[in-house]
Amino acid sequence: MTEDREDRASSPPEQVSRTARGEPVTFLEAIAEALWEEMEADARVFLMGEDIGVYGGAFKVTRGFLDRFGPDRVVDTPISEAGFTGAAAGAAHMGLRPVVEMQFMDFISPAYDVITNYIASSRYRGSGPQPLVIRGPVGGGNRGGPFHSQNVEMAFFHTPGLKIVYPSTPRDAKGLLKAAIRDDDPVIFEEHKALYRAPDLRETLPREDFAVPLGTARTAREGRDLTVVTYGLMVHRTLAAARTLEAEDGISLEVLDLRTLLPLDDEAIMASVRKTGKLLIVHEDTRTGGIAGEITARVNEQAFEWLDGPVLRVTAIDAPIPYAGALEDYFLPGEDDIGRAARYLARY
Amino acid sequence: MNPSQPASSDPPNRLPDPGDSPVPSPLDIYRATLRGYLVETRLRSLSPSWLHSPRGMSNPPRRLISVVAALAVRRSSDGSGDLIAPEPFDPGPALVLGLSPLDLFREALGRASAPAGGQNGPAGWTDLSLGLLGPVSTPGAMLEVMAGVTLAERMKGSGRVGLVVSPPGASATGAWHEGLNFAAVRTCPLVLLVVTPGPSNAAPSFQRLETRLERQIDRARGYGVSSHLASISELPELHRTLTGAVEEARQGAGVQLVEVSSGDSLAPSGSRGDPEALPGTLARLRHRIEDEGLLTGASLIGLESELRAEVLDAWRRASSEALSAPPLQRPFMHGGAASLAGSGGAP
Repeated sequence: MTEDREDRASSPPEQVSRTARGEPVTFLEAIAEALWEEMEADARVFLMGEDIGVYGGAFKVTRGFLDRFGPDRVVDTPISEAGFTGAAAGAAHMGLRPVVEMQFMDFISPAYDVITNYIASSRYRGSGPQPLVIRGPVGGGNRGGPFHSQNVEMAFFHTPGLKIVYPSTPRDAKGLLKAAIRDDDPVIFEEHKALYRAPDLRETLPREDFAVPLGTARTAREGRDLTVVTYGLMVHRTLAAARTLEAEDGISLEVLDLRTLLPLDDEAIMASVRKTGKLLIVHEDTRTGGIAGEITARVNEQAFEWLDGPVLRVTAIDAPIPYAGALEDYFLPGEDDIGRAARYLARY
Repeated sequence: MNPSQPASSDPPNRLPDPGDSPVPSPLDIYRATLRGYLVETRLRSLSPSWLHSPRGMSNPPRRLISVVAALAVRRSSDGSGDLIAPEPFDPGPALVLGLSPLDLFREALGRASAPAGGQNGPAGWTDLSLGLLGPVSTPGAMLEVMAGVTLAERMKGSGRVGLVVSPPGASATGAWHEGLNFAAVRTCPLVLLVVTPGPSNAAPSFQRLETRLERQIDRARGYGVSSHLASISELPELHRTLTGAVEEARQGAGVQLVEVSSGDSLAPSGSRGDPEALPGTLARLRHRIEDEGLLTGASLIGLESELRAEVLDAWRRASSEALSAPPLQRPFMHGGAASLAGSGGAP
């Protein structure tokens, strides 16, 4: 048994080995690689969460981590999101860098109190930095229903002291997660489940260490007629719509992938709006109080004179996420919705 | 089953000898509690939220117990000592750990030299070198946080212990339960101090709104942790109980739940109408010091004058210092529209 354990420990698990072999990785493997490499590089980094050790995590992101790093650095917790998130805050005080996994981000809500009242305000209150990451799967499309499909960014967007990251590609997932772990402020890191094992997203990543700076957007597609600001799974849905619009209507979309939602990259948003004069915002989260509203206000303040049309938004509808497939498809923003809004705006 | 887990009918645990930890005399406790009381009385004048009670010190027996708790842990100024999360608005433990009245007043008055820039309540910030973990107002949160603090310290093998003073009503919250349960299952070196009966705006224990239990230590079996019972009436025994609980936690016995009966905590403080009058708890302790011949009445007056002078001097000094600069610019309140980023004129 001991030898088996040592054998397993000596060879990294499959999901963190591909880049070293020069093979392309999935979004999930990119996240696993980021965690593994940061734990190898920095003994202060440790993981906490439900079923992440013995079971390897609900999505198997941390499969094999327990054998390599042991139970002190891969801490299985009771079902107590508030308790272990608060404990992560305490560990962060003492110089460690906890990475908390929410089995599904929907269940971050029990920890809302300690995140907003304690962790987010810690530096401001003179209680020092909170270098911790809270990461986990978000998003719909998997028939998970109202409690396994939510996007949680706007529950925290209003809280000063937090950073919120929501990547759309394996490269960004790995680089941003590394940056988040190295950051001295608390970071909420959202991972869309539909991206985890999407085969089309596989990409070969650099073998050398890299990080993607927090707070910088990425131009996912250059365009001339209108700007679409989006993030997460919606980046890919927007890119698909852009290809269709270009081919069928000759409409050229510029697609800006926010990557980090808090702080927002105002500079990149305004530069693109000034270039195209029109703005469409697309997010999977629900409409009212969504990030589109904040972006619209900022564009109104900073680039109003450049606008040649109203700022539009394509979002989920204001409802809990339905379980039945047909209803969920209706609820979520789709490629057709983006296409319709873009055509309207392009003609405006 | 945890061998230290008590059966429901068991008497509270026997404690190890506190060893070479010096037992503070009633005079030590009086001095520390009075100092906290004088500071708190000053602070109270700044904000109606500072104290729940309209009279004097919010709850003198609780303040005295928290001071004894601070005297029971290992203290240092280099980050190697134990850690305490006091109740919000209780300056006593922070002063025992080494903060000064001047620090507290600077913070409360928002002075530039304040430890947290005036952005937090007094004694609400964290000073890890002294072992102070600044509390927040959600009653159970510090138990969750201290669970992680002590988990981290156990991982590092530092031998440090964390002590949380449970605020009134906290045991009715989910955070309190999750923090205690997490610390219990992870065998964290944590001492949880619960003072009963506990007054509270939301869950006064005399109405049984916080718990139906007669004693908080009856929870210990449910969580699989050790328990200890003490009373405010015997100060050396109270100190010995707390010291013993701290050492048990340090030796790897996991969470220690200590319930201290404050006896008369719901009684009037006795300071109504006379700001110079001491609360009943302090007045009784003062009489005891005199009766036991630890200090004469004249010497006590001298000690009290010295403490009052220290606090008044710190207050005056903090009041005369410059205000902290606001950390953020406010659009349309500091420079108007021109202060908005990226305007730069029309296209």
